[in-house]
Amino acid sequence: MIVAEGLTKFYGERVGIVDIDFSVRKGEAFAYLGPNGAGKTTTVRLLMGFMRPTRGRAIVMGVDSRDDRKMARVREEIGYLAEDFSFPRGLKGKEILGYYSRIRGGAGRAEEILELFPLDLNKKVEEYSKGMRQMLALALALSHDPDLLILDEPTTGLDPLMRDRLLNFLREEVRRGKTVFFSSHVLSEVQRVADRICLIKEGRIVALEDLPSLLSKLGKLVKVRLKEPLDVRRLEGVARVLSQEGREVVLAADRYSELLALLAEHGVEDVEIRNMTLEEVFMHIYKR
Amino acid sequence: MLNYARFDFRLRRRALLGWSLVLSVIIALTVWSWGEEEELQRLYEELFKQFPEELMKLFGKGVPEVLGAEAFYVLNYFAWIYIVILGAYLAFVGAGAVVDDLLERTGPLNLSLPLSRRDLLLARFLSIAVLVLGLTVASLLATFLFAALMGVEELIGRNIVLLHLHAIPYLLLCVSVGMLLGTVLPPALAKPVSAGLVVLDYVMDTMSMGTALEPLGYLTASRYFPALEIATKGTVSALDLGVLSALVAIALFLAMLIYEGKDMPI
Repeated sequence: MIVAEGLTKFYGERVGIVDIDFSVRKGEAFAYLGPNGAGKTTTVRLLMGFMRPTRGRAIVMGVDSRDDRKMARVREEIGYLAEDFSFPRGLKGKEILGYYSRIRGGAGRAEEILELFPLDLNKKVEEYSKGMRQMLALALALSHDPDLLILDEPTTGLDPLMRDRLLNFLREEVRRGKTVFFSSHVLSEVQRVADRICLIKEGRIVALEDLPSLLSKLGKLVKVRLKEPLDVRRLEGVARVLSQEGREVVLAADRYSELLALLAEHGVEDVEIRNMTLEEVFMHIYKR
Repeated sequence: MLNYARFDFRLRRRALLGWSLVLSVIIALTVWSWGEEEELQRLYEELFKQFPEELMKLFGKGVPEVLGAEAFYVLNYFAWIYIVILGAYLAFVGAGAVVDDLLERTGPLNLSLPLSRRDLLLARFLSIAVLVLGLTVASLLATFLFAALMGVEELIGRNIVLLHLHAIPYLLLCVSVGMLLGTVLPPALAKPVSAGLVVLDYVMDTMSMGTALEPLGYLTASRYFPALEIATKGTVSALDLGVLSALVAIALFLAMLIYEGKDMPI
């Protein structure tokens, strides 16, 4: 559904993204993660054809995103939600929904979507809260039943209930064969929805894997409280030290027997071994 | 595309109503000032004769041979309100058709529609063109209504209709030049610069009339809209209309071409 090939964008001298390569398969939920300024929104703009890449290209549903006229047809099948947007002023929610749906050529699922995200459509959009505006934008992005969803921070401004509904909805859409490309800061949400994850840092991809592989990439998380302080350099080779505070050491490891044998020499008061969360993997990769 | 043009015009309805009201008030005051009293009209003529020629050119788009109701109409209303201020507003709106998606952050909704950039810009041009037609009708109707009410028969006729019809390509040129500037200038500058350019164009045209700078005047758009001549003599030049129409097409085409490849960091 989406292929990025050497996708690069410079804003003058400033780097947007560099040599981004990935592909998103049909029926997949693909999460695009990175800290602020990493290049997530730049990538989304290039995919949507809002900007032209400095080099490389993005193919969206078989069309080069630089070809505006062909992209116009492809956009019929895309549900797009931007991170930052405004509605035209002076209109009621129902007018916005009505006009934009007519221009898109339909809103077959509008009722269903509005049941999920209930809104007072008789209010002017200026009177909407941030969450209500986000729900209206989601209704606009989803109600024409697109095959591909490109969502930039879709849960921004939503309350926990609506957030939960959206995540369930997205998962259900993927089950129905729809493709979801989304960016988010909230890693627990990503973990609920994504099949594959792409992490970017300073405009470059630093990890691109399916969720289970990414979570096991660094091994398990080992939290140890020792009887006496230890020179952690001694653990190098069998584990990666994530943090140390006095006698408490947090490690990432996959060679447990060697690690435990080494630690046992120093006396272990307490030990906890568990899978890493996406947040811990994310933090580790970005702190490197 | 037409669905989008209809939607875009819905957003401009308030502007049509507001401008119609303002134009009607100014027309009413203009027609009322001229009135029916010949004594008062002679007084105006004497008064305007005292004015420096440059001032007459600037405010009347030329110097009338005789100050009749039509010349008074151009001098008091049409030249500055309709040609300059409305023209500047429409250039501002034309530039806004490109840059407001960035400045007001409406781009994510509009540019993600299944419309090419060319179609989007053309739809917006059409919607502004409907606004121009609406204002033409409003200005004509207000002129005829107040002229009938106040007994100024000279203003109810062919010349005033021709004047308004000739204004249409001129005003559309203001729109398309605004659009073109919107595609090439930084977003924050595009709207004020477009509006300012219309004022500058008019001043250059009128101030160069009959001077050594006359050739400069032919480079201005408003030179091809001789409002005073049309209002007083009822003559329309096909060349003027052709130049204005060709310029509209060129500016719009260039705007569409540049807009198609323009980065919109929305």
